[in-house]
Amino acid sequence: MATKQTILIVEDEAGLRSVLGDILRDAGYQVLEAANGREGVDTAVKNRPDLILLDLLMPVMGGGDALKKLRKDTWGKKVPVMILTNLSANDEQLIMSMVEERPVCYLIKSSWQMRDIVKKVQETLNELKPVAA
Amino acid sequence: MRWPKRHIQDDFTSLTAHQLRTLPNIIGWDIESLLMQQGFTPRQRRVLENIAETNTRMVDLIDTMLNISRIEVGTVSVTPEMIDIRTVIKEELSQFQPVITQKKIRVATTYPQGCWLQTDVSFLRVIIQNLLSNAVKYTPEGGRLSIKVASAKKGFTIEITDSGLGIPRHQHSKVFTRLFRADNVSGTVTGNGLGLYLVKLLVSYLHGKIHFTSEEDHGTSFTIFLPLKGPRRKLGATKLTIAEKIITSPPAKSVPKKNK
Repeated sequence: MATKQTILIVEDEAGLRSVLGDILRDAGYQVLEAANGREGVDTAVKNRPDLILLDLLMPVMGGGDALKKLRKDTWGKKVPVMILTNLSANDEQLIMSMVEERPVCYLIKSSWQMRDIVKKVQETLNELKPVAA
Repeated sequence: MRWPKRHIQDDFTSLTAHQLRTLPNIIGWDIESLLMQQGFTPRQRRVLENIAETNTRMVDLIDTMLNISRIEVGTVSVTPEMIDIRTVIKEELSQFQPVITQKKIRVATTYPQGCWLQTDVSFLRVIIQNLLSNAVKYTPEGGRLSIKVASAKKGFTIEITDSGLGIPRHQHSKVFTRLFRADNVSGTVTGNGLGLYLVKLLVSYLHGKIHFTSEEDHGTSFTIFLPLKGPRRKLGATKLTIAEKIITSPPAKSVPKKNK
């Protein structure tokens, strides 16, 4: 049996984290959860997920700092990260500061249904799959 | 170090918008999760769908009210840059594609060669979003939607025409007022009555003009004129909130020099 791909959700809102986790588990993924950036970085480095869904505004450590920290790690510098935020789409300063950290995309959560996020996750992971020899 | 007042306002408004969006976001995802379960009666399912739709409208209303408040208070910032109108329209149109497909609306677009002008792209996006949203919402299944961009003297016109319900003639003078709802749609199609008021405000900020023609039961056509050289840069406390699903590219860092 093929190993399940692992997704890490880093999100401080427990309601959003758990419901999105359920849907992703239903879609066949193994899901890890973290409630802030610091927990997210620790969980990511320890478990090496295939993809990280990262919120930006969080207590203890925000998503921006968490991603910068991850990118300094040998493994973390390559892991695909999708930003899921409810910040305004043109919060220029923050978005510009994230560009260098190469997130796959920025999604405005309140405009997305979860099933579309699952599709986006599937597409992203498929695009990243190594081509079979 | 004390932060300048503008930065404090910036942070406060940004955080307020974030918090106001997060709560309906939780409700929306919870309802979606429930709707994926089996075993609901048709009536229960209908109630859940109504809550989900109302929740979506609440997010739209929050964004619209925040934008109107920023503009009316005069704290909105304007960042002119050289933009391609065609790209903006295509991106905004793609967000309505699921509804367009579902309602089998035929879409026609016409663009001239090179549609570049200097304006604030976030303002233009909100204008196009609102006009497209109305056109799609009020056009019946199998109807038509056309978007035509044309060169004009010192600018461009954008014409968005639908074959929808139209606006009763006796209400034409009230279309751009706050809380306007056409008599022939109230109670059948949802709306907050603020969209066209916001559009008018934004168009005037861009030094443009807007007018419309409409015939009940035949459709409506809104035409915007935008000048090649739009507004000057204005440093305000906040930017507009854009109801976008994906941020496709980072905003421009600076205003390019104007094309000669």
